Amino acid sequence: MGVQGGGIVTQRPERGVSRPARPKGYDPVPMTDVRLTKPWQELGEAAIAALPGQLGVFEIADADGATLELGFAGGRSRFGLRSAIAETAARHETAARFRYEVTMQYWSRFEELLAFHFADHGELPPGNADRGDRRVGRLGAGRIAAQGG
Amino acid sequence: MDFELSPEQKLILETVRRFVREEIVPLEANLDPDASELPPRHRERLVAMTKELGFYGLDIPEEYGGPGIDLTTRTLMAFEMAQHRAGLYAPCYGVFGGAGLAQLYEADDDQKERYLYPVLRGEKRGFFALTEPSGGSDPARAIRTTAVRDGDDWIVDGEKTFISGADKADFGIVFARTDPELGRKGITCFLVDTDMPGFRVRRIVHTLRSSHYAAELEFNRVRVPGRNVLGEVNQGFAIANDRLSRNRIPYAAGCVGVALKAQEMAIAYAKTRKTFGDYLSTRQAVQWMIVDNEIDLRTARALTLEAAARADAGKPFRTEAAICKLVASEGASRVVDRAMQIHGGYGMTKDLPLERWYRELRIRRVGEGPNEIQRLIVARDVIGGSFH
Repeated sequence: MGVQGGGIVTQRPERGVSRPARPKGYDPVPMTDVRLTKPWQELGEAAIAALPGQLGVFEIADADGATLELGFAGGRSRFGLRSAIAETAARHETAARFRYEVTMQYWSRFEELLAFHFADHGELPPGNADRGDRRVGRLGAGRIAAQGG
Repeated sequence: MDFELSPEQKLILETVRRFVREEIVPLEANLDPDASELPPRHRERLVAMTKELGFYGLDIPEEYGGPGIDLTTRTLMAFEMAQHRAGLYAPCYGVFGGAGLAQLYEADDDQKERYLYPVLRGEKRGFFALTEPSGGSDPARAIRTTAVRDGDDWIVDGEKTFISGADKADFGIVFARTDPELGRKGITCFLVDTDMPGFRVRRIVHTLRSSHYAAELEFNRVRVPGRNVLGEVNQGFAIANDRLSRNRIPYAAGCVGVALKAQEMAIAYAKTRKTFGDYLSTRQAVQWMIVDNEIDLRTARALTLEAAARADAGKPFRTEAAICKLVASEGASRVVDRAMQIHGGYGMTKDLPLERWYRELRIRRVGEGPNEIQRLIVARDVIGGSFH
C-alpha cells in the first residue's frame, strides 16, 4: 500500500521529499524508516527452540504473508521471545511464519509497529484488534485509531 | 518550617496510602513490569473509587470541578501515589484523573468549549509542543517554528521533538515564532488540530522509558485559524513559562515517592538477607548506604514541601521550586542506586521495580527543565539578574 491520508510514512521517502520549508540554518533530523525488517522464518519446533530468551517484539503471519498478530516478549514472559512467539502462534490456526527483533524497549517498539501497521493497512492485525478504548498511534497524517480503528 | 499534618491531611494520606498498597500494588503483580496502563476493567473500577472518595481530577481547579486541594496536600499525596512500580511517571495509573493541559485554563470561552471541556470530559486528548531540535531549555531563542499571518489565519511551519502523546492526540498546544525581532516577546501559542492538513507525526522517539515514547512532529504550511491563538499574539512565552515553576513541585514529589519506597525495600531486604552469617543490616557498609539514603530523602522531602508551602502562601517560590526539583531528582537517583546495590543481583532484575525507577529517574534530571537550568534559575535569583 502506498502513501495515504496526506502523507503516512509507508515507504522510505526520497531525500528532500515531504519536507516542510525550513527556516534558514535549520538542520533537519533524518527521516528514519523503522519497520520490522528482520527475515521471516518458518514456524516449527526447531525454529522456536532456537529462539533467544531475550525481550523483544515479533510478528506472526500466515503463509501468504498477512500479519495475524504483532506481539512482544515482556518482563513477565517465561522464556522471552521463545515462549511468547510459541504461545502467540498457537492462537492462530493459519500461523505459518514469524520474525522478531530483540529490544529492551519492547513496549514502545510494539506500539510503534502497531502504528505502522495501521498506517499501512487502515486496520490492526486480527490478533491485536481488541484494544478496548486504547488508541493506536498515528504515524504521518492519518486518522487516530480507537477500538482497533 | 512546621510540617505538622492537620487531621484532614492525615486522613487523606492514610486513605491514599491504603489505596496504593491495597488496590494498585497487587494489580502490578500481574502486569508487565514496564506497563503504564491498567486493563480497562480495573481502570474503570478504580476511577469509580477515586470519584467516590472525592479525589478525582486532583489538579483541576476547583471552579472547573476539581476537589480544591492545596499544593502542600497535593505534594504529600504525590509522595504516596508514586510508591509503586509505575509510580514515577504513571502514579496510580492515572486513576486519580488528570488536569488536562494547564494552559487551556487561559483559553477564551470559545476555545474552552472546543478544547478544555472535551479534555476534562475525556473526549479529547492534547499535547504540549514547545521543544524543537534546536533545543528546549531556552525556548525564547530555540523556537524556530514560524507562524506567518495570512488573512485571518496563520501559516505554521517547522518541527517539534520529544513531544509526548502527539501521535494519539486530537490537538496540540504549539508555540511558534511570530516576530523574529522580538525574542521571547515574539512567540505565540496556537491550538493546532491534528487533522489539519500539513500536520504530521514524523517518527516515534524511543527512550529509557520502555512503556512510553515521544514523537517528532512536522508542521508543513499548517493553516491555523486566528481564533485558535491561545492568549495574545506574541505573548505565548508567558503562557509556556507561567506554570513551569509550579509543575516542578509535584514533579519533585514523584521522585521523593519512589525513593521512599526504595528505601523501605532496602531496609527490609537488609534486615532479612544474611551474608557470612549475619544480616546485611549489621554491616557498616550497608548501614551507611541506608543512612545516606535517609539524608537524601529527608532533604528532598523537606525542600519539596517548603516550595509547596510557599506557593500556597502566595509567596515567591521560583527558587524553591528549582531547588526541590534538582535535589529530589538527583537525590532519588542516588537512593535507588544504593537500594539496587543493597539488593545485589535481584536489584538488577525486572522482578523488582528498582531497575525501572533507575531508568526513569535518569530522565527526571532532564525533564521539566534540566538540572543545569534549575541551577541557572537559582543563580539568577541569588546573585542577581546579571552575572557581569
